[in-house]
Amino acid sequence: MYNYDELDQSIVEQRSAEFRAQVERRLEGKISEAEFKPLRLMNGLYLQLHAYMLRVAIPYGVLNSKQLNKLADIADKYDRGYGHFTTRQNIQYNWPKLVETPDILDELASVQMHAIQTSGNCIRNITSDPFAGAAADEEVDPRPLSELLRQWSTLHPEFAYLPRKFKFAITGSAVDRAAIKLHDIGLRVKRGTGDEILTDIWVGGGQGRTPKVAQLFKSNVTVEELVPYLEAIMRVYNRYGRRDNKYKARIKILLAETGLEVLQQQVEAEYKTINHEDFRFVKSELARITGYFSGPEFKINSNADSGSSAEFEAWKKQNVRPHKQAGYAIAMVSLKPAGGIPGDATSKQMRSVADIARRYSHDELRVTHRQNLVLPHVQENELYAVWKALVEVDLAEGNIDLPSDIIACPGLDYCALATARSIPIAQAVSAKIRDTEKKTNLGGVSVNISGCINACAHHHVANIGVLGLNKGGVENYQLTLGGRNDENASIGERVGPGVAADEVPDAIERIVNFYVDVRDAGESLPDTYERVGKEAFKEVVYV
Amino acid sequence: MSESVRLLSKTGAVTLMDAESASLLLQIDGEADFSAIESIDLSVDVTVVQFNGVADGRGFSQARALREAGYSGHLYAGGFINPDQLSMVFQTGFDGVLVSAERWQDYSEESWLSALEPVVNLSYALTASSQHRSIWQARHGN
Repeated sequence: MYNYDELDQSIVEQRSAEFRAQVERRLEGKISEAEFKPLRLMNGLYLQLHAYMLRVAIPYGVLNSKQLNKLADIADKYDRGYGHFTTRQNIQYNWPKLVETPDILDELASVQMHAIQTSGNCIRNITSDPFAGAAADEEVDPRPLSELLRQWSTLHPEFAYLPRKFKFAITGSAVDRAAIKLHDIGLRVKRGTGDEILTDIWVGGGQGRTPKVAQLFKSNVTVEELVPYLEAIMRVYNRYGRRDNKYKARIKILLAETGLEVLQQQVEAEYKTINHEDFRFVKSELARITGYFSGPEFKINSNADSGSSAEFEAWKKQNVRPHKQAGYAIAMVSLKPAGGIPGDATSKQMRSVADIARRYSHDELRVTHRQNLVLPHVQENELYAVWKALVEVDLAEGNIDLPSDIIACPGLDYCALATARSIPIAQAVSAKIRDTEKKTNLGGVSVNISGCINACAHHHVANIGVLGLNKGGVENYQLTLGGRNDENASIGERVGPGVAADEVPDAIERIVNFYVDVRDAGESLPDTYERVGKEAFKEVVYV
Repeated sequence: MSESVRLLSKTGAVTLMDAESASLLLQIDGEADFSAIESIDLSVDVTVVQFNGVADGRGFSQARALREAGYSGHLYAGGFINPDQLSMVFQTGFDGVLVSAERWQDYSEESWLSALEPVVNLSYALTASSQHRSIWQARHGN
């Protein structure tokens, strides 16, 4: 994986020092909260319902054991002993004290991490395929380009005050595990002739109150063209993106209002004016970065503890995915235990997973946008040992990509924007659905629960989406069906009026049972929904 | 003096001028359509780009676009710029900031002058600021 040199280290340390001075000015009363707000947001510090919340970047979802151990230490020292992994491959701490946040940033910098641009109207953390460099179906490893764009976007002076936040996602596989079509810019990296790398640029995806699937903006962009072309898109967005209404300020709205063809013309015109000499180091920098991603060296340990049990086999069937290297596997660690909070991990669990990664996964870990962890490089004959170690810390739940693998936002339990609770609903749905999913093949059925229209839990693109609203002081939950977040991304359809909180688990169970009854062999829930229609599903929701 | 506008540049020099003289310098309104840039007379000596709100970063793109179009005159940022944005101001091609008496007061002289020495003096890509060192250039330039 990528390793900072002195210059990378310096810029992160300088940014931490800059933020320390800004916090001091705030604590001394030299700047108001209104003035401090944009400064703290650019470093991922929010003011939530009960306390500050610090969002820490995990660039393209890649961690090593030292970094995860540091995240555990921070959870113990500055928070309440846990952290929350998010849909954008970040981690959030819910209880830091303002005065201590500069110390947290210094601790992060000591392990090559930061909170730069995890909030604010700027280019956010670059996300990618959590199986990058490991997936059997990968065409091009997206991590070098992800790191290049992390550097390019870090403290970019022109794009720090955009009309609204801006999110990039990158994949190098035909099967999209990074939801690129639901980002402001999604990049699909692919192989050209020989060693040539080409990129397709998708623009204008996003969720929130106006969900949109991205449109293909430009195909087959070369490495030399890519960064200036992205600059051109960003500049056109900075120029013309709406600033009169924050709910209409994302590039998806600019694209919808301007039209694809006109926006493409504007970007092409801008691209021609950009001084390409400014980007003359991009290709050699990408080559330098790529050198960090050649490993690891795969070796097979034939003396591994390759035991077995029914529980292990069930976990393996659900949580293990094929690796590009024969004899290796990708092992997923579910952060969705029965009764747990989706995406939460205690400091003890973080340390255990870090230790497992160090021993069994070439010291590498990933965070997924479904709020789980990944051990990307595990020898197949060591999977049993990994499973046993996960059992010790209650992380051996075998429910990846099942309905109980729920994405949920913090909701009204933490978030100042939320209109309803999401965590307790997720817990209730999860408890309800577990028996069914153990008896029936429900692989691939996704359930996402957002506590407000901002859609942080991506409910629009879940097979079964749940949106918590407040109707006259009472929580009310709208259900959407048929959404998907893969290479065939689509927005789910609202099935009808909202239901009460305590009706959500039963309604979801009925939807799942109906799907099982009527599906054709191998048919996904969105495909079944499209085939049998909304009315048929509506009848089982509102009995 | 309350009517004065301060001109803050990279060298730290603060030049005072009266508001009427400052207003004569104004060329580009941040709200204006960008065609204003395409039609600007690149031979004018002084240009001021107005920032119309603290969260409105269009002026940063306007400055870069002007420089890329070949503008080599004095380029100043006016309006809603605060000390924490000086680093971006210089990196995007401005020579300095015109600070109204009110904004000078709001942030204190100390804040404005100390912001001329950026805490972060590194950038990845090449920028227009002589105060910043490009990491990519350091790695790959001769």
